[in-house]
Amino acid sequence: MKTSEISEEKRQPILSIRGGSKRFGGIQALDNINLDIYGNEILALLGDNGAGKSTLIKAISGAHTLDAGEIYFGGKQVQIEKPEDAHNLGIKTVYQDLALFGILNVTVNLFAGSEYTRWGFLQRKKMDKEAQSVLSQLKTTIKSLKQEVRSLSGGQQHSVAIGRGVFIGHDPKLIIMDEPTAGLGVKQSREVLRLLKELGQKYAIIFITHNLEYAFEVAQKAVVLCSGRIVGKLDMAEASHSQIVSLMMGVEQAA
Amino acid sequence: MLLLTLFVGAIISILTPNFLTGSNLKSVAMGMTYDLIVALGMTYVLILGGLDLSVGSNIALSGIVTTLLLQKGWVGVPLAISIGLGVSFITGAINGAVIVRYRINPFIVTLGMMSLARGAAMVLTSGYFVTSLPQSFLIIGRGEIMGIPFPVIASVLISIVLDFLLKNWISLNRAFLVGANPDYAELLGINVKRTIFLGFALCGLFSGISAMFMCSRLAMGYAQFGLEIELRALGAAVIGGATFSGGRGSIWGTFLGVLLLALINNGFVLMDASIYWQKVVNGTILIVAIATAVRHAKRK
Repeated sequence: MKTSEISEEKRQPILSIRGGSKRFGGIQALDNINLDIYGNEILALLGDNGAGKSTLIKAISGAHTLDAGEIYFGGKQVQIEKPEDAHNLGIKTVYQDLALFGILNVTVNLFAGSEYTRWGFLQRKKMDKEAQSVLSQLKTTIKSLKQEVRSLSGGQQHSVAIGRGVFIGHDPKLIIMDEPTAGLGVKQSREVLRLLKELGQKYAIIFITHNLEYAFEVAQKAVVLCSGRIVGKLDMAEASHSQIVSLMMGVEQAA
Repeated sequence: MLLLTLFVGAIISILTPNFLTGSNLKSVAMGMTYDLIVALGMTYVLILGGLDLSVGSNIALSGIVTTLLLQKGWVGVPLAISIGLGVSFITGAINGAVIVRYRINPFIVTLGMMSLARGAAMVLTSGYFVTSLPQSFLIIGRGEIMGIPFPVIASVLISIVLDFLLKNWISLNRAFLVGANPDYAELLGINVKRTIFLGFALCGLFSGISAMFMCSRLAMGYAQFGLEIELRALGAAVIGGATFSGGRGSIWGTFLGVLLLALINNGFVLMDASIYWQKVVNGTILIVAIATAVRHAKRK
């Protein structure tokens, strides 16, 4: 690894994957993945379609399990077998399709899976209040929390998804954002990037994107995947646009 | 919905002078009871995104089990009822287990169970009535408080409690998430399989409760009990706002749906219309209700 060596980190990574592999039938979706993610930084996960980005984050967020390899979280080896396991560790995922329930209202969507309860009973008022504060933190105004989510604008829907992913439930330690700017206009994308930068000061973030400009703008590091293998680990300050593209295309092999 | 029900009630009371008599209202209320309890379970399953066609057969089977045990004098009333309810719960649980385990459409699974449970009820009785039941069992369906039959009181209480729990108790409330999108619910850490499994078991149990009142009130067990009740329960729930795509439905809406169907049927009886016409009308209402719901959903 000559061009893309990352300087030895003294800090302990929040999440490490060692030898992560996953196979779907005849396709090696992930092949011997070794990855470290540190706190207070944004790691861009780059790669062409089918490079294994989704599979990798699904393995971290519990939607898939790895066939082989270990995952360490906060220095301890963990088993992430279902989404619940990831939630409990503080791994929060904002999915590309937002995973919102269109026919249900804003509060229900925000707290889905992490409802406030006392003795098993929902605390509606508390959730409504919290929902208001989350939305105002995201600088989003929504007419009524009782509104069906499918009646919101694209930007508002993103806010609800990010609000749920980041602020509700267990405190986040690692936030995974899968294409958070997909389907958004320029202005709304800028909003999301601003939010990402802010969150990146406090949390570890994995940012998946197709947009290299955005990756350069917010991320400190990047990992490039190609055909299920990591082909480059880069420091964004030193990396160039063309270098990343050739890695993504599998032209240049960094390792 | 409420207005429509009141409207139909008003029309019937104008057309038929006997409608607003105490004995007629009592018979309307009694007729509603069995349907209502079943429709509550059906509503929950619809919210989960499923449906249960086996509720009527479940009524027959669990009723037969309880009444047979009582007729033979093998066990006391409380135990016989518990076993009957247990059978209904397990029947529902088998539906749920097969649907969840093998990812088969609930329509197919419960259609099979519809035949299976009805068949089992026939086998157990060879088609005969199960009668000679102890008085202490009959009181459940026939007893009254201030002129109101026990089953009516019970079904209203069950509705109120279920309405509260569905809105506020997380274990039941999560049905809305599961029904609206099971994949997303799973991603958010909700145990979708367990929720669906228990939902079908609960629906089965409600059929059992309905069966106990029915057998007690009519003083017998019979393998043809509960025939076509699934259609009325589905119709009532859909009229009340539930959809086949899941995530929607309410106890209050279903209550009004059951009431509306009961009023219409009662109107037919009072106007001396043939019982066969009732089926034609019920079927029509079901289709119209579903078509309206689907169109409404698409328009949005």
